Amino acid sequence: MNEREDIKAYIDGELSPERANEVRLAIESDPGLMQEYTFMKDTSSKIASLLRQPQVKGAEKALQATRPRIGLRVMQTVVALCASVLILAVVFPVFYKAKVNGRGGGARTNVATSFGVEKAKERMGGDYNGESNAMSDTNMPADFSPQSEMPAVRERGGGRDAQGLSLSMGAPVAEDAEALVRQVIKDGSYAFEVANVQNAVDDTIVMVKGYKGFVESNSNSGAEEAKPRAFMTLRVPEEHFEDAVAKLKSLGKLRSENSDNQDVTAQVADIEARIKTLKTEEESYRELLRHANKIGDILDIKERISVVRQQIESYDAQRLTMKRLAVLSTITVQFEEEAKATDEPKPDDWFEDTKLSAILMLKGIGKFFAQAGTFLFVLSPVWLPALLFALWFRRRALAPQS
Amino acid sequence: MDERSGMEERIHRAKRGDRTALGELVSEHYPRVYRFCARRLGDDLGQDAAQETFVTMQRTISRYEGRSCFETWLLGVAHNHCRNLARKRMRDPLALDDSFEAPSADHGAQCADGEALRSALEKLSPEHREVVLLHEVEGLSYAEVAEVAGVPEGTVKSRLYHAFRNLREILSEVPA
Repeated sequence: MNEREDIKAYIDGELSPERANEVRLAIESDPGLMQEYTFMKDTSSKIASLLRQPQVKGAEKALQATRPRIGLRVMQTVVALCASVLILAVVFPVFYKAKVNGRGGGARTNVATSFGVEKAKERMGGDYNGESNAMSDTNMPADFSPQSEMPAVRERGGGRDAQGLSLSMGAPVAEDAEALVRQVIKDGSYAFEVANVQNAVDDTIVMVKGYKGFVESNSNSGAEEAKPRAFMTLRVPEEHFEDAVAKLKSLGKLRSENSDNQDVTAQVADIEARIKTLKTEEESYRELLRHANKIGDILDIKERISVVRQQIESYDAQRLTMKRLAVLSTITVQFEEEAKATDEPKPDDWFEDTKLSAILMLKGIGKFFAQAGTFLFVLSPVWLPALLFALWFRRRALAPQS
Repeated sequence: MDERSGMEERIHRAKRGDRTALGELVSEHYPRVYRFCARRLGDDLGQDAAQETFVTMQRTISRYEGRSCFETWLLGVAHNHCRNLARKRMRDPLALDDSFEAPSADHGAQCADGEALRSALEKLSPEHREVVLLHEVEGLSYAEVAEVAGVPEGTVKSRLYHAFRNLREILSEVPA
């Protein structure tokens, strides 16, 4: 073993007695090792003599720093509380809103289209002029007239042509665009459980009549059935769609609900533009017809006018159908009588009931944790900085004051 | 009750949250820790480092398992705080400016010797300077230096030997 490398350890007394003896003998016998030994010993003592002995200060501050400061825990609690309140204030409104939206998905579309309802009241009066005749449904009440619902509009539509077109020929395009009204076809299907089906049907008919609508179809399975049912198709003015649905909901317990809003504004506008072009074409043919002298030309022009007229009629029928659908919403209702109370539950059902309740509760707990986890994850940009701030504050509060 | 068992008892009480015992430990070890820090960072920064050391001690004393001397454990904490503080202040954590007495005009040759030695120490590699400081300046044993510096004891021994050999070479190059 190399004694040279152990000289320093020998000086520092870090060797075992045997090894120290070996190194001592080696130093005594080797002048080179002796020189190295002397140097190391001298240098060690020189370093020790040069050593600075700083005057101790700040002991009291260190003592204070290690003492728990008054209010530190209070401050920590306050910060933690503030963070919790902040999290609650942010999480729960979002949570609640999400739940409400989840429940009332259909309501949103109705609100979105209410704008169209108001606008339609103002602008569609003229369009009804030619449509009331087309609505010749046998069930439709004689007094049904969309114009009567919108007197103000009728005045504005007074200057329109005999076909009931909202776009007058030759009007500027910008004006045409402004004249467009949002056309939304509203449909809804609802199933209810009611105490008495016949009463519900009667109430529905009265309600629909009250809204100037009509019952398009009605089929009733009869009171003698074990579980009487009725299926009805109602047509109510679009602006009363929500009110009618609300009244239906008050008749019984809602079992299922499905609503659909179809915006056909673009389709109506397209058809109207086509009609306008065809009418211009028809007018020019008529002008030619007035100046035609030859029989052959007259017949040819009349044939062309006939073709154009057919196209106009076809498009007009489509337009009217769409507008009619938009003006009168369709509600399909199914009423079913509530199940009558039967026998008392069997005595041995308690176990099944308890099991089902427990499973439901477990599902609820699982759902709660999953939702809470999702919210915490999504809202981490909100609570994470607060938590980090609290930790930073705690660290800062614990740090010594210099 | 001897000094060692008294210390163990104080540590035990401090671990259980006894503020008096904690205060006693601070009072007892502060001078040693302060000098250790002040020699590394100067008086002001050394005071901060010493305070932080005791705050850390208060927080982590429950993790002290008694495998090494309590003071060595504390110096290990202080060593880390000194290094962190020096890094924050863009200082060399092993600077020797505050380790030695300032040279005085009274002792001419001795002063020149001291200055040469200090200059030679500064030329050592950081690893060598670290063990020299911990062993020669702080008076720690090889085992204690090993624990504070986080290296094996054999490495401490080897580094010290080579540090002194390098010192000898550097000083031999200095003209007398």
